[in-house]
Amino acid sequence: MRLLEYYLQQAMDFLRDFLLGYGYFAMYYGLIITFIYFLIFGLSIRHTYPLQRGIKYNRVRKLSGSEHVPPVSILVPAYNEELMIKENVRNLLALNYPEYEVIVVNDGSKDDTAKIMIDEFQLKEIKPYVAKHIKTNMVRGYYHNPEYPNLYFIDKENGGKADSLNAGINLSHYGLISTIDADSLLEKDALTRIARVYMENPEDTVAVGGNVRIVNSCTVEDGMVKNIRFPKKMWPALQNVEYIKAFLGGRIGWSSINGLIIVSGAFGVFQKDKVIAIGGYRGGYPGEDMNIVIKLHRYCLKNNIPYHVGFCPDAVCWTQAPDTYRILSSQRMRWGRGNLKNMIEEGIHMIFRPRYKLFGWLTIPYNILFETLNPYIRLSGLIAMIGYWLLNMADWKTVVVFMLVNFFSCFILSLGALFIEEKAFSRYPKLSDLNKMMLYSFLMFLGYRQVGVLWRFMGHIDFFRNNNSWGTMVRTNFNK
Amino acid sequence: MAIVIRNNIQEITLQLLQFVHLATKKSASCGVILAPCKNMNPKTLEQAKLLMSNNDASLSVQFFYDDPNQVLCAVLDNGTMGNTHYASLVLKDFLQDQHLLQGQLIVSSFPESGNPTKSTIEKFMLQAIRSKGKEGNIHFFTGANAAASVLIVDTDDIIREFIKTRLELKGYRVHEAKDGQEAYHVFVRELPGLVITELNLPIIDGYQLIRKIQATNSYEGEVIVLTDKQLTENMSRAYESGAADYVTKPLSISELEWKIKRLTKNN
Repeated sequence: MRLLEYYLQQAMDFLRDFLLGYGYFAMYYGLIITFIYFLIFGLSIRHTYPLQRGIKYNRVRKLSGSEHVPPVSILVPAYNEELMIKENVRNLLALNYPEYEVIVVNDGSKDDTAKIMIDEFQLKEIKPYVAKHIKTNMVRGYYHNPEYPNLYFIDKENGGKADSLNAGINLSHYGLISTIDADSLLEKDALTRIARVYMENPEDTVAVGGNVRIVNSCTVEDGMVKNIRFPKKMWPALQNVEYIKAFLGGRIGWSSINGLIIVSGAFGVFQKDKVIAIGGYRGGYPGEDMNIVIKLHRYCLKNNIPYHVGFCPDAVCWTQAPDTYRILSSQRMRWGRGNLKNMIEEGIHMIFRPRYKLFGWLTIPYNILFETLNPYIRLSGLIAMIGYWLLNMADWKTVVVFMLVNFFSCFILSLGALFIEEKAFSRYPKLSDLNKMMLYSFLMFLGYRQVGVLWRFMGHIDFFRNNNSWGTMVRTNFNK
Repeated sequence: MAIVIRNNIQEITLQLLQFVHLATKKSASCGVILAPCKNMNPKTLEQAKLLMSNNDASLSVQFFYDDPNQVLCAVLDNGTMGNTHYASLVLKDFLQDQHLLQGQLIVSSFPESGNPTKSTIEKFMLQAIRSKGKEGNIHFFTGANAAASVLIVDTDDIIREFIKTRLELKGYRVHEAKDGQEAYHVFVRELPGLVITELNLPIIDGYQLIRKIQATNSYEGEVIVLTDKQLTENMSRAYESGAADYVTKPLSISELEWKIKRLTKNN
């Protein structure tokens, strides 16, 4: 009996020590993540000023007709996009850019995407010379109409988004490729603005990402976003402040130290030969947009090629954000799944390797520790809290102080991102929209971030159960 | 013999002039369609009149037929170039069905196509008489003193407004359109003497618009391209499509004005 008591005591002591140790770990974890957040945010702020000057003195109109701007092949993968494809292609054909081609790739859609494209633009089948850089699924046919000399249409068997992009790369005629989601709207001079960033250092710039904004509640006319309004519905509104924080507060800073790990799939520009060198887009799994950027980093660092992955916040692509819980959760679970896959596939081969420099020492560890593993830390933190409470170890005052500090530091970062938005871009003309953005930056902490963690965790579960579907995304017309 | 014909023309010219003056006094504008026809009798005239007032009730049509010259004149109160053109399409179908048409239909509207002076009307009439024996399609008559009309096609509101204001001050009548589709509709309705278009347009792009305009029968106006695109291939493609001139942005308004002046004078 005494022995049992003794062992119980031992076990309790161990548990206490363990929980105490965990407490220290959690504290340092919180401190480091906050430090990195502020570091990146500081870099973002610092680089906002040169960016702003660049935008101010940028002669976009002059560039948009100039022969010095490099030609670009725009790749538009389309799967079941019959609702939007016509307007989007028309919009893309009327960009302000001197020389470009639009390659629409129908990924074996089950709806009338192919028929609509062929009828609308009176396309005829052609037999072009197609490079075989990257292996893709069977292509059923290439279509073209001399009336629209810079439009090509590829009809192929279903093989996923990455496969469609690869098929587009094989047909593309120019040295730069740009990937655009078929449900997104590109601003007319977005490509010119991104090209300016590329032209500042054409040798080294292997990729440039654009800024993604949320189009819900804005009015769209002739493929142009006319009235910019903050989303009225809750889910898009929350995502809106989240996007602003991630893009302006995060990616500007990451790109300034060349540690940008993702170029959004909705809109980005890449050097074609580098993309081919790394074997094109990886098929069969979501998160191909992050994957390609990690592989570019890896390839260039491994082969000692000087390179830079840029970010161009004034090149805007408007996208429709999911406006229901179901669709949003499926999107976020997909992201979580893709992120985990990328970290297992690429990340762990690069972490803390001197060869990969800052990318291996900061970006990858940050992403693995604070993004990928975040749900586990949070969950274990919750369990530990219960443990502290049960063992009567909790010093509630400290807990509350800690939570408040954490909350305010995150809130300050959100407000800081809004500051960058207002200072450098101020795309929302109404003051009430700014108020709403501040309100939602606050509301984000009451539930939205928590479900975000949950979605990521569920994405990981999907990953381990080998559930590899793209999930649902329901398209609607713009202007609702 | 020559004198007799001359007198005949003078007679009908004066008659038409009187009609036009009466019509322009009554309402703002007056459309005139001249069609060389044979064997018109009062009954067919009545039929034609009925058909045209059914087509557009807002226009009151007066017909008279000149026997010596064999020319049918239709005078439309309130007729602008646009709706007179529409009316002439109806009239053309009617005359062709009855096998009466002997030449081209010549369409004009006053004061849009010029001041209705005696010499203008006479030229107008001569054009109709000389068209006898040619294929029966529709042509437009513009007097030397007409105010030219211009259609500006651009997606940019500011550019449109800027050019519009400048040209209106110089006495041009200006129409606007913000995409290729709208531009073509305005073009068909108004038949402007000059079209200034951007190449980069939604729905129908600039090249297609130019080709559609050039394919329009009987259109004698010109197209100037005003665009951001500065590449030589864009320029040669625009000229290939049928553009008369090519101006790049950022634009110099005086350069554009001189080019407009030159092209509208040539017409």
